[in-house]
Amino acid sequence: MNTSTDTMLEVKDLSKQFGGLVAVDHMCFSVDPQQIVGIIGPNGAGKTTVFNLISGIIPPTSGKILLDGNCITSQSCHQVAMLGMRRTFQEIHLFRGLTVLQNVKSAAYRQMDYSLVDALLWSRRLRSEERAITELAMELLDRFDLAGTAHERADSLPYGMQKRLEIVKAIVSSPKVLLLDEPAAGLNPGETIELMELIHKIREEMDMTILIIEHSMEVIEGICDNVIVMNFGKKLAEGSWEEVQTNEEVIRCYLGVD
Amino acid sequence: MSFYESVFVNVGIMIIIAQGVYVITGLTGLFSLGQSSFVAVGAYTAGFLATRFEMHPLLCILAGIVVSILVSFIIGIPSLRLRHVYFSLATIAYCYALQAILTVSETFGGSIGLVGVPVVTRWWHVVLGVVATVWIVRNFKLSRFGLACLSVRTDELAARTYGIQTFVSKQIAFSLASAISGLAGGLLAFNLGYLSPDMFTVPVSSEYLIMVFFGGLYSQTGAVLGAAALTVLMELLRTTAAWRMIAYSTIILIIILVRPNGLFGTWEFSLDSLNPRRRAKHGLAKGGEGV
Ligand SMILES: Nc1ncnc2c1ncn2[C@@H]1O[C@H](COP(=O)(O)OP(=O)(O)OP(=O)(O)O)[C@@H](O)[C@H]1O
Ligand SMILES: [Mg+2]
Repeated sequence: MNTSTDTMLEVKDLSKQFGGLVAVDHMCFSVDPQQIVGIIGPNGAGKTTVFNLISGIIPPTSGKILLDGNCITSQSCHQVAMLGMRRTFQEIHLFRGLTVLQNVKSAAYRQMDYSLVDALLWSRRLRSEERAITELAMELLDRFDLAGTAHERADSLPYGMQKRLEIVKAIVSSPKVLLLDEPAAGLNPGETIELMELIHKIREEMDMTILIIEHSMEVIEGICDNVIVMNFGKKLAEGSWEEVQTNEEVIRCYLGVD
Repeated sequence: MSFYESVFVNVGIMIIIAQGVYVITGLTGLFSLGQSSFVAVGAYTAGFLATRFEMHPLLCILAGIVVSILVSFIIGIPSLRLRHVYFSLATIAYCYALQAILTVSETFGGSIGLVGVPVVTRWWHVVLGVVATVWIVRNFKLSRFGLACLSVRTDELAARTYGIQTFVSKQIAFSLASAISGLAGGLLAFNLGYLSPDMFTVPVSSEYLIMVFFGGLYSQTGAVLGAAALTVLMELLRTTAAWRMIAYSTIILIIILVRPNGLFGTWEFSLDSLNPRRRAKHGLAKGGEGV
């Protein structure tokens, strides 16, 4: 049960208080490798806060987080990232003003390991590593239909493409765990279907474990193996979409509102 | 040394200084009002070693660069954790502190300054310094370290989620900028022959910033040409005496009003930009990185 090898991400008794507000209240869940897990719940339920805790952006008040057997509870954001976690944000966080390619390459910063001296002297090592990363980035952009925009400014892309670019940036270093915060928000129905295909493709081709926060039940139903429902910081229910959908409390607190 | 050579040397030194400002302010987004302190550290170290120990100028300049890096490293530890305007305030503070130290220190000549440094800087030394600096800064900018600085400047939180250590990136940029300032300081010492604390004040730092803003904060090309243009302008206005500062300020104001992103905006000169096929191959930006 508590062996680390068959659980990719484990959250134990996780809580976060902001002053008097308990945003996350004793959350427990675990995610198996290559699962796609959905987190749903009403606005302000604490979903994004769970992501912020897992990705090390804010420290938890109490509880424990394990990533592939490593305790990451008190680790900072970049340490968690280096252990193989990537996330996207609810609101777009692209490097505005940089080109699409620069955006992807900066997200792949950790994939390169030439030294500062190599950089200052433009060494052969730098050139070969840079070439390899540029190729990798272009290949990914190509696979996700962004290749034509490689040299455009990222913030000049249409919204849907910016959201797609965020995902490409998050997967360029093949993380073990990918956290997606409302990837379908603001997308039109066509784009939403494309997004679902994209997420499937990522799981199949890149062996990733994916957590996804969504308000679109179409997406949750379409791609999640398992769904966690949150309300007032607590876990309300957990199970397959069929199970969760028929849970009376879930209907009363969340689904009924729709 | 002829008048023209001295103007030329001056321009070169200013270009080097502007490159340092470009690295820390343009690339990394940290508004340093203390860059003149690092020029001072380079200049005083070189000048001191030259007058006291009669060391070879090249060694003196190298020592100046090394000391400058060390100082920036130590100052960086507390100040680079500060954000936005607090960082700028810290840079003002250490700029004043260094000036105070230089003014009271007898070793460095106190308020009279350090005199008797051999005047040996020639135009080709400066050309060498400028070419090396511009090349190194260009390499840095296009490397992963430069990209990390740009990410930190644009969105620090997102940068951290990609495993970029923002403090380390800032520290690297700060040290590089200081090394460059140190080099400029060394050249300055051997150009002027004397140094005094009032040559390295906060207003002097602001003038460096103005040069880079003038050319375009986000353009390395802009930093080079902005520094050159304003330094030459200053020399041309030398004859107008009292009107000099007024004319200088007016010209800067007009340019900044007409072109808020500086003369060059985000445009970069590059050999590749003359050849679209090569540009695509190397993945260089169409418009460079922008605002
Ligand atoms: N940094 C913070 N400081 C104080 N309160 C916060 C902070 N972050 C979140 N909160 C509060 O915690 C609660 C949970 O917010 P959270 O963003 O996690 O909700 P959410 O489930 O993601 O909602 P939504 O569906 O609207 O995105 C909210 O009441 C929010 O105001
Ligand atoms: Mg949210």
